[in-house]
Amino acid sequence: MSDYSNFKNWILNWMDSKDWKPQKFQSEAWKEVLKGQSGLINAPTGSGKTLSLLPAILWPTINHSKKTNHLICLWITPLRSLSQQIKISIEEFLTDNNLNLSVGVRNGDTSAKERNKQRNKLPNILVTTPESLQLIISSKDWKNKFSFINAVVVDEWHELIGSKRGVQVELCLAAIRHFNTSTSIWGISATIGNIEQAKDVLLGNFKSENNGVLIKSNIKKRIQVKSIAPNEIKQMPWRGHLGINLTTELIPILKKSKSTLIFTNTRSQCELWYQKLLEKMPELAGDMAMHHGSIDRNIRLWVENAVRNEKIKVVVCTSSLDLGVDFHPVESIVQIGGPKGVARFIQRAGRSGHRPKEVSKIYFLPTHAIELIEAAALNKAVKKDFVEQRNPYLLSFDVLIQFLVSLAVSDGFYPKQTLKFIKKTYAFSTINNDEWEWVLRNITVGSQSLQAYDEYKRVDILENGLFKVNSRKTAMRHRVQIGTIVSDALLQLKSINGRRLGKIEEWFVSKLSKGEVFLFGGQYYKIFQMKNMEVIVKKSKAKKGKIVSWMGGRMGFSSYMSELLRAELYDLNKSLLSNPENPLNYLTKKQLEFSAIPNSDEFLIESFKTKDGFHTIFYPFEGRFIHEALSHLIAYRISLLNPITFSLAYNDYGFELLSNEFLDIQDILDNNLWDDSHLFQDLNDSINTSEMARRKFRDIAVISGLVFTGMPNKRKGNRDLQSGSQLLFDVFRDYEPDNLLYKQSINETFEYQLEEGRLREALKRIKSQKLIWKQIPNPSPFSFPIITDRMRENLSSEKFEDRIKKMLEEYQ
Amino acid sequence: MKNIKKIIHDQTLTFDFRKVVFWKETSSLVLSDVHVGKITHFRKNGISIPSFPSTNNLNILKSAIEDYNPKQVVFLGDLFHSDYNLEWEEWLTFFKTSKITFKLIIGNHDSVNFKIKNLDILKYWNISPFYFSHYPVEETKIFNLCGHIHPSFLLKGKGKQKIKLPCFYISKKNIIFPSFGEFTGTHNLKLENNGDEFILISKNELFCLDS
Repeated sequence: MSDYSNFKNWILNWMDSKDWKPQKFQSEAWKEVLKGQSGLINAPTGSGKTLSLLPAILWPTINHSKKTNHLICLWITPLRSLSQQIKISIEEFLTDNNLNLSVGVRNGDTSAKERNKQRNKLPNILVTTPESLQLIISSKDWKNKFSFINAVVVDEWHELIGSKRGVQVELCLAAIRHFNTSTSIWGISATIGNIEQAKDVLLGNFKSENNGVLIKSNIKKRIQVKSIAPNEIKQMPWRGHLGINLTTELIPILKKSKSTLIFTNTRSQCELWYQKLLEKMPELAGDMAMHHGSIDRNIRLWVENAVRNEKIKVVVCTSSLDLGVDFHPVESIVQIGGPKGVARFIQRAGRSGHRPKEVSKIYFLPTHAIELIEAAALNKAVKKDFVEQRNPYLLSFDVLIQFLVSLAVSDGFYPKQTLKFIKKTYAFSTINNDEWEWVLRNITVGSQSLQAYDEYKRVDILENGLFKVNSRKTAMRHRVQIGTIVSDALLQLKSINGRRLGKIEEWFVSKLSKGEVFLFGGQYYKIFQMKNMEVIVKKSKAKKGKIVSWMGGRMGFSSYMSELLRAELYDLNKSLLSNPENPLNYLTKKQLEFSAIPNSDEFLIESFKTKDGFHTIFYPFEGRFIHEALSHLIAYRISLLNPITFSLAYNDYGFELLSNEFLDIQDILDNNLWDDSHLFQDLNDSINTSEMARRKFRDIAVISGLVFTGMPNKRKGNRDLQSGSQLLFDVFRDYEPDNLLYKQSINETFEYQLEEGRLREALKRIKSQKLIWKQIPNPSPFSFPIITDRMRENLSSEKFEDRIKKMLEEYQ
Repeated sequence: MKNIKKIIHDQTLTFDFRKVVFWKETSSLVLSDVHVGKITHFRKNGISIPSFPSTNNLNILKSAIEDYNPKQVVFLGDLFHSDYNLEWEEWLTFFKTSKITFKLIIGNHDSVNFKIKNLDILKYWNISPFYFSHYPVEETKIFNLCGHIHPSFLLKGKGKQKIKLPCFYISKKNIIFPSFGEFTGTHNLKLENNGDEFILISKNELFCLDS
């Protein structure tokens, strides 16, 4: 019998015993894995994707029935909570089949004891995260540990590819493959718009004649969307993003379902909803839990297990539960507020009916009236089978620097050899010699050295040409810093008896004073003491307090989502006549009463005055990131005509220019406002004076090690080495504008934030539309969510000193 | 305005846009929080901040000395950022070769464990009617000149504009000095009591703001 039929006998036997049947994509994958092929499997969560790889990867080891001490399979997952789940299902498979192999988890939650054990001997199968993988690579002797690996599996690759963690994975894989040429690489991904490219990014350019196989499962999930709106649409608020007033609408759903996951968009929203639900349904007290990224891992793990074992009925969560945690008992999913993208919405829906062929049910709860339009658009989106692309990051020098220092911390590296495999990654295939030399200079002499007395010290070059970190302090600091997910400085939250509750951001704590009460993890706490990197709190009986908030990323509409939204919007006028039953009609009427609703060939601008000044609102309906760019561009172009200062605000529907003088739109339009020539130059000029690149730079500074966030558990964080990335950004702009990291912040702004291509499309569309300028006495319903947004930026063409004088006059 | 003259406790203080104050009666030039060597300290620890010429700071001080011709210069602490590094040298040379004298009220960042020629190191300096220290002093009887805070003010205007400016904070009990050094960061303050005053500093002008 051939090897494959032996394998098939074995696995089918086992599946039979479970009453399972292999699916087509599983058989295909087994064949390819056994051939030693690499590739990507495109299958939704809960479709048996783990089984499509694991048995075949383990087969050579099982088949030779030798006990092995080596690591044979590395399983990378994007989330820590997933690692545990994967481990359990692998263990199940191993015990069922009487296989004498060990599985271990290595991530940020792994205890020091376990880590020490792993330092001496890794398990046969290691489940880990990208950050922990890089940590292993930054420890001595990693090459030997990896030299018997059969395969590396990257789970949920779609979650990683559009982020810098994806680049981190690419680099780590390249290093592993360079020293172990026989390992194969497998990815598992949900459907994304660019799945073919996702495969190429994962596999890189290691085998030029063969770029891997793409195996697609033909499993389709059926999804049912139901939007929850109050009986009277008049009860809907015109703005806000919390949706608290709709808690009552949710009660019947919670009562009816055995289990429910409630997805919120932010952690503070999550806290608030949990609290409000408890008030409305006190009987839920023991049956409801909360899950978000800042809650302590033990509590999170407990929640995950409790859901799995049907011990709790309701979990209020954020994207922390977005990924594959396999909860088959979940019956209903609720999404509060716009999910901003179709793919994310579908994925969340997929949390229910988590078995092949079950129907997924999701309730959508809009938080303000205008989101009702979004609900209608989403409904259409899930019916078509199309989702967004996730674009990979290219030439992320910050991640490269972090990776190279990791290599230097472990056994050191030789540049020539290293460049060879770095060039084989998708992200760095185009790196040129100048850039490479710059990166090497950066880690050895600090990129530029103006002065004779420079004492830069990070990576040393040894006599034999090896790049190596010799300082133990540097090595230690580097290990602490590894990771590409950046958040504000985090403080440990502890109860007075020493129990760890979770983490909160420093900027939030800095707004609190001793004795103040705030809500965290569904409980009110009073600040008892703030010391070093810890906040000690006491439980409080207070019924009110501040809601903890986190800066976290704000998400914007994808281009696909905005297209759907516009289509829905342009239909409003028509459906008012044709469909008197449409729940959106009330909204339509209100907006028409105040202002207008544009048709597909029209573009709406509104002007009105409030005590804050003169508001001009533009409605491109292109999503918040495009609006961010457009608002800067338009404000800049207007400011060229006259010295003026604007405050800018934007959301997914439009953007606002707020100024202290009236803006005559007719005047301005004669000046080619929407022209897409000089776009790059104009954006560059307006962005230089704005905050966008600065914000991008924050992550870059942390990843590349420019900003040191301090040692955990160390009494005094290295305060004398801490500085704000803001300050650094200014220094680079003024003294080293050709620094690649500084330039990267500008490039990232253009490519990932401004989405230049999309921006040009938008400008073209707007230019072709007829303008409707409404000068109105009061804000329109459409404008409410925008003008009340408190995240604002400024753009000015007035002389700095003149602005100060003006403001001082207003002040006094 | 390039400078603002104020009479405080019968003494003539000139606030200068270069973030220094000239005290006429004793011919002293006062400044705070220079943080010499900060850049190099970072670089020594593998953080690749551009090593821009810290000479800028020194040159600004020299130009102020030229304009006011003081007998002595008083640093209100944090003259140095951390341990000795080579960036200190040009300052040490400057002290050594200068004809005027220098005083340093020691701050939390200064780790000076050797003698520096022509730099007097003090814990505080009590010279009626003033009391010079690095940290703000709580006692209300003495009028205190201090640093440490790196004060700035967030100016808000119509149209939700915001501008952050470094400043001198003048109250009934003290003057808090802005940080003199580049790359030092600031901390926003608010007017606390009636009669308190800010002197805001843009690149080359001063603005007054009182309650």
